[in-house]
Amino acid sequence: MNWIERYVSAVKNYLPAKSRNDVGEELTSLLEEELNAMEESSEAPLPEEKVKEWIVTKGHPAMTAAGYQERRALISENAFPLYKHVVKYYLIILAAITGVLAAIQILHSGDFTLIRSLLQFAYYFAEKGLIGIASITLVFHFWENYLQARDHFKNWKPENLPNITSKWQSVSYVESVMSILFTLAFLAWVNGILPTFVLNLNAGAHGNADFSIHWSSNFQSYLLPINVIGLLCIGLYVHQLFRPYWSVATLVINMLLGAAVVQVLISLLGQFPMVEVTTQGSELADKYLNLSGGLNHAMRTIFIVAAGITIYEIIRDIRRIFILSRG
Amino acid sequence: MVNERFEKMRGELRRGTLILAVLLALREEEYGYSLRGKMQDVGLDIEESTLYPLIRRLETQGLLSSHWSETDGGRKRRYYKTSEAGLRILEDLLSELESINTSIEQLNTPSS
Repeated sequence: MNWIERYVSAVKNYLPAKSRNDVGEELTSLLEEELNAMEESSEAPLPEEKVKEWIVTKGHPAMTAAGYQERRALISENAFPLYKHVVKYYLIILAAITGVLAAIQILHSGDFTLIRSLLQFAYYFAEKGLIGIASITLVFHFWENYLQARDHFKNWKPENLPNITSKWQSVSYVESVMSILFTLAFLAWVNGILPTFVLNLNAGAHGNADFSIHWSSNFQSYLLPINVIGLLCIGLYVHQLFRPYWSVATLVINMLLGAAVVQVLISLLGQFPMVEVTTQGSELADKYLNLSGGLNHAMRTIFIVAAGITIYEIIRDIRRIFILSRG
Repeated sequence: MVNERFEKMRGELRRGTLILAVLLALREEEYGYSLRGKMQDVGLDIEESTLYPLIRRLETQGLLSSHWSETDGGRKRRYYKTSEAGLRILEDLLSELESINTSIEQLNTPSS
């Protein structure tokens, strides 16, 4: 049995067609030389068992073939930092989208089971995550040169480096992702994608609701500015995923967004009622009058607190802008 | 652990000078198996899985020339020799190595 022939034939299976025969021929010649030298030194043909032992020392055919191929890695060393960046941001964005979708699904169904929800989230995240990573890997593998991935980090500018003077200047990924999630959930809530109030959810679940709670037309007239501000905030948080630190520019934007939020909140405080309770019959209206009053009072309190916190953040941003401009 | 680390570093150090050694050794025509023996004789025991693919790559880059030849016994051999382009690059590499050696020597000399 010709073990060299069998070995070389196996190696050729792992080689590209254009170099298969040439490498195969040379490898055969090299192995035969070596075997011949061994036989000459022992002055007798080697028994088959010894030849088998010797051929094992040449390594697995796939490894031998890999040595003859230019490309040794799926992603080249130079392109790997950009590849890691892309995968990281893909997973962050996927986690944010998955979290929001899971929250919407749970709140819509009104059936919340922690373990089942977590498993659903994990399954969706793993499935989309693996497909995404595989796709990114393939794109990098085949179109690395076209993407100019090797040169991506070559033309960086020192002036774009963060000028870190204080601990508050860094923005963690968790902070940005949570901000995106909460803002998305808030927008879904005010736009009625999520049930407006838990009371509706419970009443709906039992199927015997004699009332429903919804935003008043006064409140709904503010949806456009609320949505615009919310989307701009999400834009800022997404930007901070890529540049995770505060700069004068981002602080100014944050401050302006805060001012817009305060403006909307103060305007809403003058729009009474913000929430309306609709009953099935006029005789029930009195019954739920207190509920409507209580909810509106609670909303006013929440808006006053939110406006107070936002004003504090605006003052803090002004102070930080001053610190950064000075430094 | 220390040995393992040393072996890894030694491998890296040798890999860096491997091309130089091959270009030097192939100033005289050799075939793969004889080249390996020649390297072993001067203390450079290089795995065939490293050496054989390397000489093919250098040939593809035009730094080696090659031709097939048949021995008296009818065995086919592929002979390699450092090409003109290989000799030019060899000269540059040797002067670079010399410069690195000088720097290392200076760093290794105890300062007075």
